[in-house]
Amino acid sequence: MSFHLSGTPVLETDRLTLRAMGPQDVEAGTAYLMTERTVHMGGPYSAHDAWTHSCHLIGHWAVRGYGLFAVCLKGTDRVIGDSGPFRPHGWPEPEIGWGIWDPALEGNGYAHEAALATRRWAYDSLGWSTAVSYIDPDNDRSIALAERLGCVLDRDAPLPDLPDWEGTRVYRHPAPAEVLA
Amino acid sequence: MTLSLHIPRLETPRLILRGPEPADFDSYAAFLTEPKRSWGFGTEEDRPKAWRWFACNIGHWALHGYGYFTVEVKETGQPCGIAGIWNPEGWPEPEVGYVVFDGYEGRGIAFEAATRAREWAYTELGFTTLTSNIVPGNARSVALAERMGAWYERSYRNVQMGEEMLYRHPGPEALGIGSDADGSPEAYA
Repeated sequence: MSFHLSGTPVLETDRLTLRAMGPQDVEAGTAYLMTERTVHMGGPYSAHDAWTHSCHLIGHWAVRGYGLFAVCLKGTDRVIGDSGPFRPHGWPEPEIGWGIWDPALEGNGYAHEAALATRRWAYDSLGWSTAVSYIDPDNDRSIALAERLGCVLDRDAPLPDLPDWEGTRVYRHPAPAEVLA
Repeated sequence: MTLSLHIPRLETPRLILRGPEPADFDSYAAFLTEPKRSWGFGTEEDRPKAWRWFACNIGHWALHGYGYFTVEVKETGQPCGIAGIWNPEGWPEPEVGYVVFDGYEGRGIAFEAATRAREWAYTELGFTTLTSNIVPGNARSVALAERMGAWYERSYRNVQMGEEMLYRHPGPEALGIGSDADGSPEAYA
């Protein structure tokens, strides 16, 4: 056994339970990534690419020791979205990501509630000194959430050096001192 | 919740097959981003994409309980290739996959590693059949599959690789490593 992932964190908010993305989330993640809902993050993906992307979120935890949390409604273990620290190879800075996978559950503030908790965890437990969110300029909902989270557009921040990323906006989160106060 | 990854450590006379570790990434990336080496396996266009594949393999282990091992030279501890059982979404069947990194060809390493991975799949995972998917023109891979006793069964269109030839491996009984009379896979020490 090469990776030691026992004791991955579980975060609780008023309405949500947040836990490490695991194999039980691959089916729902794959289905989500194949929908138009992922048009602002390179989707919709083919079934194969959606599956490999979902699996890599688990491996992200194994390699980095952190990763996107599965967002579950409290009292259930059914994933409805993803939230939290994300830093695959090539990211110049640590990111806070989010997405609500089930369209029926959009508009309830779950993404906001989850991001507040996972950002706090990234600052507090991982010791991050800053965080950004990379957002497609056409993704109005995500931009609105970034602003609600206190993020500001950072025009000088570097982007991941990847094809088709030109024009992506970098929203910088408030510093740990502001969030943890 | 606990994300447990029980990746065994297998041995052959010259090799160790073990779970991937973060320090292996550079050797994987060098292989995956070099089309001359990885065209028959699946070339990744840059290191970020190679990392995604690397992390995906770990998720594959978490989901299936099997995946690609890092193959290490016992004597030096150096990663020299990748071998294991691969079955992502869209694959026709689980396959035995094998590659060696630059500088390790021609020593029978892939054969030794792939044979051990296949034996493990039959004895420990309880598989009753296995395949290898080979891109047309990959003569080295065909030669290795045939050396393992596999034969051409059919061609098909792979979701990632395009046209591929499906080779069928001999089953556990034909290899003399079949299940016990009670149907449970035989323990392998």
